[in-house]
Amino acid sequence: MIKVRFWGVRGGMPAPGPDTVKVGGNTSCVEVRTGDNQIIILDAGTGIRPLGGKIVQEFSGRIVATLLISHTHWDHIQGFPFFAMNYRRHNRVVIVGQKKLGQRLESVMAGQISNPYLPFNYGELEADLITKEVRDKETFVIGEHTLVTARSGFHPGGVFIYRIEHHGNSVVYASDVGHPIGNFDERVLELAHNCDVLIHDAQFSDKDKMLHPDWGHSTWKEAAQVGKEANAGAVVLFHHSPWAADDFLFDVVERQAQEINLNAVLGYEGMEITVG
Amino acid sequence: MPSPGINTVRAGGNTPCVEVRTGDEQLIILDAGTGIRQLGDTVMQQSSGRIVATLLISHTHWDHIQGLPFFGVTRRRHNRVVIIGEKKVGQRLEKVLAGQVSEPYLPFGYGELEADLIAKEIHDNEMLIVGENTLVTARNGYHPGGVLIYRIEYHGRSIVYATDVGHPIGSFDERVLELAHNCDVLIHDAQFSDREKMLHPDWGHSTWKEAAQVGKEVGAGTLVLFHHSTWATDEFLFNVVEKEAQEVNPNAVLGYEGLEIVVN
Repeated sequence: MIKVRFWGVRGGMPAPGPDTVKVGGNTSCVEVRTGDNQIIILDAGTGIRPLGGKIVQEFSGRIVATLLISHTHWDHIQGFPFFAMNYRRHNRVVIVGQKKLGQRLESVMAGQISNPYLPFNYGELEADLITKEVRDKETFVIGEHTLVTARSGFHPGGVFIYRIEHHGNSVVYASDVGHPIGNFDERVLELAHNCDVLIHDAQFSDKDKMLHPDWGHSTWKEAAQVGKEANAGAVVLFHHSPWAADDFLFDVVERQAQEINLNAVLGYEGMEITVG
Repeated sequence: MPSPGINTVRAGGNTPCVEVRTGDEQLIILDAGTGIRQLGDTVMQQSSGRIVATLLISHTHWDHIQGLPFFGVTRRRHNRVVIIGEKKVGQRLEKVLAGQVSEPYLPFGYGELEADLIAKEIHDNEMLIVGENTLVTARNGYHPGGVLIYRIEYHGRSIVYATDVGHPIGSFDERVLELAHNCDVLIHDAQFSDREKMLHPDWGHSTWKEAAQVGKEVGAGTLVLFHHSTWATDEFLFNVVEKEAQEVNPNAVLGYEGLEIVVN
């Protein structure tokens, strides 16, 4: 069994306001819990702050979590200094991200936690923070029963998409990926093949894609289509523009995506999906 | 941190950004938290021509600068943004701001922003003129890493912005009192409860009661409670924070997104 809960579904910047309360204004963060109680977190946007609050309330002893980072653009890491797990001694957070020449993942994460940006430093965080840099196609195991596979996708600066598999159930996280015009990136199709849940970038309108084909985002229609091609059980439309209001997202984005793929659903804060 | 959600729609979940417009059409912006994104959109819609703005930065903690990469005014050629902040040895203001607008944190760099961005570093007690008729004075306040508080004066009217300032226990920082003396509007840090102040006296924030008291001491026309904690809900802010502050000073008012104050 895998349980998925969405804590932040926004891209670019957090978008508070009365027009976004239903879908939510927090930036990317998705919680994944496996049947054997592993805690896996996809990205550390601002949604990781309320998630962290919940986790430290749930457990009084030592907590271990694996944080999979798709890429280090702000909307995917900006919540990390405010992640409550970091502040308790003996907690352990394993941060996984792409290995890049000349760029240590830990340096990039720590770079935001220092003077003059914050009144405390990465080194002062109480928990054990372990960074693990992985390559395209690398796989690793979490706990005893959960396999994670990482693949590169197309996005300026690079992005990782992840597949999490546990006892035959699978969730694929493909935020911030773009596809060539009229075609789909094989790497995404392969990784997402037959998965139960595909969480896919759906930030762009057709016009946005036309204007910015190389920005590394997908249209919601593309997302729906990829879900169909990959035969995903469900496609969750993710990484909404900060300018997109609730009404637009539910009445236009979700609807248009469902016209292509009945299994498409709009990702929103608080949404929970259980597989298996 | 920004705090989106249904419990914060009234007060608002964006981080600090205050728009100031003078009678002679100068645009002055206090801090570049996430609120600056929507401000930028509005400014760009209102004017198709060249926009000039002065951005006063209190300090470079994330919540006061994180909106800058998404500030629309920086994207249009010929626009000019003069960014003012504290001069610090070994730390160029421009470098600190640009540090967030770069790989691997964003897919574009500070240098690619189309507008003219001019960073101007100033000292404690320094003054500068915006346009022809607006005087800005900067003073240091107490906050880990430092903070600048600003007084904006235009034809005898004045606004003081004192976010992220702490006061010693049982007394008030003279620099704040002096700068805010007799101002029309004092925007003051009001993040802490009494308990938080007791636990963290050196974190450089004030209680809402202290903010109200400072407003009274300096004879401010209006005292705006500012820099609310991320955990504070609308209910708590309107029913507890504002109420307790008003018991100390009837001219205290809770700052919320969309609040407009006109000083004539």
